[in-house]
Amino acid sequence: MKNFILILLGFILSFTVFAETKTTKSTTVKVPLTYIMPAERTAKLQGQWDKLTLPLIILENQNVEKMRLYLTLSHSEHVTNSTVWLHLNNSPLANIKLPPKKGAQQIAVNLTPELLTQTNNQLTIAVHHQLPSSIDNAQQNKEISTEIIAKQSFYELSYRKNNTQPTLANFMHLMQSGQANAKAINLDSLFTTNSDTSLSIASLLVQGWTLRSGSDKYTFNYQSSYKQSNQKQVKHTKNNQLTDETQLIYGTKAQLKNHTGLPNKLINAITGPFIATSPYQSNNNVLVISGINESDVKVAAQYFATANNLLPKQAHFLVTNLPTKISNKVVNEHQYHLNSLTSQQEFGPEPLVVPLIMPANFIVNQGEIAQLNLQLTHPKVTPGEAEMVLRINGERINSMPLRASYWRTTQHYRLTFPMATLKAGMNHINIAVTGLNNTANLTQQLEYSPYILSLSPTSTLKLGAWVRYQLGNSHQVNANELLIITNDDGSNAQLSLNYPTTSGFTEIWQLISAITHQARQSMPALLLTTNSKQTRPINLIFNLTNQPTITPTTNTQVERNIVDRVRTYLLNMMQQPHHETNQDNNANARVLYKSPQTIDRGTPKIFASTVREHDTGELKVYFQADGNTQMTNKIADFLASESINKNAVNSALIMPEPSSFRDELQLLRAGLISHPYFMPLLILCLILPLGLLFQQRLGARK
Amino acid sequence: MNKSKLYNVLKWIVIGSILCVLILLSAIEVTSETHLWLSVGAILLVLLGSKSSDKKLLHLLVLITGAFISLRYIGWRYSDTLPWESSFDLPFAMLLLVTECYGITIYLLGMFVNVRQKNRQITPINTALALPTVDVFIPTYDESIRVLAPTISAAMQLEYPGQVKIWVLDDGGTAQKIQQEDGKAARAAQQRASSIQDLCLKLGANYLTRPKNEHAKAGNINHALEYTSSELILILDADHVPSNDFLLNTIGMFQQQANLGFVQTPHFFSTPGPVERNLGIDEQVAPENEMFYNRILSGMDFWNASFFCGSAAVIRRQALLEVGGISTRTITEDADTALDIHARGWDSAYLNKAMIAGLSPDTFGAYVTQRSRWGQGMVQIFLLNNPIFKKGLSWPQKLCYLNSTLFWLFPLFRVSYLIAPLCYLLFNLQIFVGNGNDFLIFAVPHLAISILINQHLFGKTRNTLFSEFYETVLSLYLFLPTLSVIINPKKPSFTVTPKGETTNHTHFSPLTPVLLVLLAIIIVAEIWGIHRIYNYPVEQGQLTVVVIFNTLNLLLCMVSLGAMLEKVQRRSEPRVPCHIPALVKFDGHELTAKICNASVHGLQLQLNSTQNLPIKDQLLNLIYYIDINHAAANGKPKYQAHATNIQFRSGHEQGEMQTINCQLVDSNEENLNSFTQIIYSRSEPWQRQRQLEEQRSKSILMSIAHFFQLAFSSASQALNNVLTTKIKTSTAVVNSTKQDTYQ
Repeated sequence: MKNFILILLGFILSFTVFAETKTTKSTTVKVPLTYIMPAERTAKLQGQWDKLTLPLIILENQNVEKMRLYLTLSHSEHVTNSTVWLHLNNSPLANIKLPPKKGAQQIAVNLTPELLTQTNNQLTIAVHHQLPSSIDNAQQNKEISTEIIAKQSFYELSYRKNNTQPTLANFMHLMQSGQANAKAINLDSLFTTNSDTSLSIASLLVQGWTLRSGSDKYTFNYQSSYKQSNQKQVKHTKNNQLTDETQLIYGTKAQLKNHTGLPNKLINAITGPFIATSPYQSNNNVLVISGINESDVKVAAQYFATANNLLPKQAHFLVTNLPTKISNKVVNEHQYHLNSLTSQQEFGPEPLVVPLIMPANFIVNQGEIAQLNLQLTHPKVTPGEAEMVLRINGERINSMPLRASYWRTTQHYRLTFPMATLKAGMNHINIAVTGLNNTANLTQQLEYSPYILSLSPTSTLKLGAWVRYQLGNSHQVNANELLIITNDDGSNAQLSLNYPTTSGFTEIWQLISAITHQARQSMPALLLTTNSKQTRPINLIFNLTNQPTITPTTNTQVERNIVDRVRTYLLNMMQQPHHETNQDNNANARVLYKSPQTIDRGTPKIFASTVREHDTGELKVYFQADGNTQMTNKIADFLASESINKNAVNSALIMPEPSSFRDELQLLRAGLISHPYFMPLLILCLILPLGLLFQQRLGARK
Repeated sequence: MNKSKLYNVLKWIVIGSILCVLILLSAIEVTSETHLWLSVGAILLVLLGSKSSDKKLLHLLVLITGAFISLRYIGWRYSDTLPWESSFDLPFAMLLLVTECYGITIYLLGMFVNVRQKNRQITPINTALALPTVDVFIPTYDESIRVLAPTISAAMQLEYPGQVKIWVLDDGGTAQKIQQEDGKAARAAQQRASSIQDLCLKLGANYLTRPKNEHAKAGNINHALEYTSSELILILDADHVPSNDFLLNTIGMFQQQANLGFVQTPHFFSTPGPVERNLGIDEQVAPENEMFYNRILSGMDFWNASFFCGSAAVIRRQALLEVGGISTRTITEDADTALDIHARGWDSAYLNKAMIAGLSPDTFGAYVTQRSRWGQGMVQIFLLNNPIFKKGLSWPQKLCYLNSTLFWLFPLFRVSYLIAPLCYLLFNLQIFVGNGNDFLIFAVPHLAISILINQHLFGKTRNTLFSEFYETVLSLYLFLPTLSVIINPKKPSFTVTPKGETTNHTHFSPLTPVLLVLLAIIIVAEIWGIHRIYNYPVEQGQLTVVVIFNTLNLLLCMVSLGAMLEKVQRRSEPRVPCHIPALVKFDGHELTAKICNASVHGLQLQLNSTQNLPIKDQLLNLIYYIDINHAAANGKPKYQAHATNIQFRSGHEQGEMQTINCQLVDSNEENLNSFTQIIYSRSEPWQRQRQLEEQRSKSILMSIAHFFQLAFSSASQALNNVLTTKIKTSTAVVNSTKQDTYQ
């Protein structure tokens, strides 16, 4: 009887599981292309022929039922007809002829599930523009384009979940896939108050998510268990089903045990800094950061915040040691081998993409250029048949034709670009090859066959010179300048959150995400605090009240000696509105500079204005708003209005950093460039006494 | 430390600081606009300075500005134009850069050397003081007696209140030469030696020879030092005929300056150089040597660094003995000896007054032989007796010698200038990374200013582009000799420059094929380059720059081709214009006449009659009157009559007169002496000719236009010669007069 009951129970259980599996419903996610668009270039396909490759990630626990791509495209003028090729994992998918039409056109294509692999898929969108004969080569590359309107373009993925056990690697794929875009990412703190540690760890998780997802488009919502101590933190629906919201839960082992319904087996595994994913098969949208104590939790969060640290293919793991962080920022006037910046050894079908992380608050002289010295092996070309197009952060900067040689296959090329086209933080140098190796194929609309260029290991990037500047007093900073807080892992900066009411700090996370994304760097030592006391040299103060609790120092007059004044004057020369820069190698580098704006001193209502303490040199940046909503809007505007992609300084009230002789030379250059007649005068002033002294010596010889 | 010393130190600190700032500024990168301001400012200053050459401060400012602009250029070339990433292109690009660095080094050293000129005046001999004794050495090896005789004769006629002994140092009459295995050569040597001995006996000169030809000319002179004892030694090459006043103008300096080691004077050439003669420009441009003798040596003299040039110099025996006699270390024993003398603390002087007249090499081959020896010798000095490391020299002296020795590496670098554009045009080698804009911004101002400064410094003695031409035409043939001396510095041996050759028909020099091959390659590259410019617009910028340089090389080679087309040269000795009253007697007729020009063996007469003409080969009796008082203060002529027999060769009428060409029949010592006196006794005509040559200088634009015209006329002449006559490059007939004997 006992055996019979056991068999019956077993049968019932099996049936239940089977039934549960059988009834797993189909889920559809919509991923706008903005979440997966490569940062190295814009969504603009330029010239006669261009292409763009997007990653499509299918999670391990997803069985694809249907996948459909919606592209909204817009042509520039002059395009008579264009052909769009779609390739999925190098297999042709579709070949669509688009008629010339003003305004946006949408195309929808089914992505054949058979062509998809489980994780990494590459969708290639190539465009060939047919042009009227009146358009010459230069115009082709400059003016002819098809833009993918990323906000209106998306793919829909319908899938059923399978029984694959969630792993941290899968969570990593979730972050990269863009599938978690629909709802805010919850930062669930189990700490009892909005302590500095709790806020700082939340900040680390935001940074980690941003860097690992490659996007700063996500929204985050902070929740502390202080108010929800009796609720279970792993969210369920009303039907006690796990929700599809993404949760990053953090707290000590004890807090996890008390406030979550996580299985004991998982809790017991916490013996140090600890990272785990959801223990439930059906939900992999949960990440748990924990440890024995707060310090352990912070170490685990720091590990997560650094994108280079891998998340293993297992459900949980203990962080044993933090790898030494390698600085990826480049140095003034240095030369780098390209193979130290990119692993690409060939390009042509894909552009060569060189990521470059520039320091915060750098400023360059007018005419300062960087050189890309490329030693390339490529097939023989007819002169003018193919050219390399250099884009910096998506903007076309320069181009150079491939040389025709009867006997050389390896050639040396130098492409230059103005240093002013670089921005603080991450930059993408992109070299694409235009022109087709086999135009006959193109006319038959069968296949495109671009040139393949092999990059020699001797190829280099030689950077020009720049000067770092400090934010001065009453200076209205732009988002770009806030990258300064990433210096030294954020150890020089604090964010003081002066919020009188409970808040999810969405706008703060938005700001941190934008800065992290731009700097491509985490700030493990960044301090977030609700305490108004400044303990670090840079303090970003967020006041959620009309009456600032921290009053800007009124005595902003800084007594400086003449040398400092001259240095500041020369630094300001560097950021004078420059003429349109016309660079070398047929370059038509267009660099836009913003006109300097000066703001009135002592006007704390100006958003993101600075106060520099004369005595201590401490810098305060005030972000003032009347309420939570206003703060959110203001920060959104702040991030959007001054594009983070521009290397522009919007105030004359800046000072050079204490610097080396090399930097002083740059300041001298600024003077010579701003006042070009000064150089011959300076030389004359030097050679005149020299001539007199020589004459005296020569006279004495007679 | 006293005040003046402190002041001096401070001055040097200021100079050093300003130089440091200037070097720093020369490396600073600015925008095109700033660079344009700088370039225009510099060009204006240089133009201003060039127009007012008497203002010394402005002159200095011009040189400093030029140096600054060139430093900026070379800094840019190094930092921005090399393909460091391409191991294939880099060696060629580096070669071009090193070549340019060499060029700029020579240019800067040239500025230093020529920053001031020392124009010395003649120091009269003080007869109240002890008059130093003088030995005149005339070393000879295989020069014909026809060449040597006027030199001995003129030396015998040197005016000097003290004791002078003339020594003919015959290395052609050594036991080694006379007893050589080749019987024919031995007999010829014996015959020549006897003739010279005989001539010396007749003229009163001393004849000296030695058993072996050890250490060539240097060994010959050193041998003579053992047999002579005078305080001062005048050294004359076999073809360097001195004017009567040579010693009068030079010995006074030795009386005045006890520390004076030697006095050098210019080498004046009474025959045109083969290059100028072949190009037909010997009366349009200054001779090639003039830049050195009329400019550079004066500049070196300012720094007490003028050097002994092998001849036409008076050397103090004591200075010579202190350095162990004439140096045998190198084949340019003269400069090497001078360097040693300077290093021992002796002073030197350069008196820029031509007082000897020599013979230029007569053929292009002889010219190359001569320059090859100079080049190899100077490179030997650079390698074996490097002035920079020579103790005892002042820094200015070191730099002057460095300039003189380094210059002779030009064949190596000039060849790389020739092949650099070919590397790009024909082999796609990236010898220069940049484009047309870069070139305009950096290279054009540097080139423009260096041309202006060269014109400012040397414009009176050298036309624009001619230095490049002389270097190009020589570099093809001096390349291997220069390279060989670098590989083995002790290998070169002394080669005597052939003098007194004649050419009886126009033909290409046997050396021409090398140039023709290069010219053909350059033409192919030029056509290919122009084709690419027109058909591949995307490559235009860089290509245009390279084609411009290839075009320049093409023009240089075209002119070089003209220089190798040897023109007819019938006379082995110069005809010098003169105005000597004379009387011609024949067949009972007596006609008054004037000697219009003369050489040691022939003359042209202007007869004051058109009647009673002699017939061809008829013997005439000539009585001529030489003014022996030409140096007298009152200017009244005092004539001395001489008589000789001449043979009528040809003649033609000129109005009421007739001009006849005759040959001397009696080759005796009296004729030799009197005709040497007519031709060579006075140095004033030579000085006038030098001044006249200075006046031939052209502006930069005119020089360039002239050069272009010369290039095309040379090419057309060469083509014409090829079309009208068969190419006889290897069968040039050279009539050497080595077998001549003097009766």
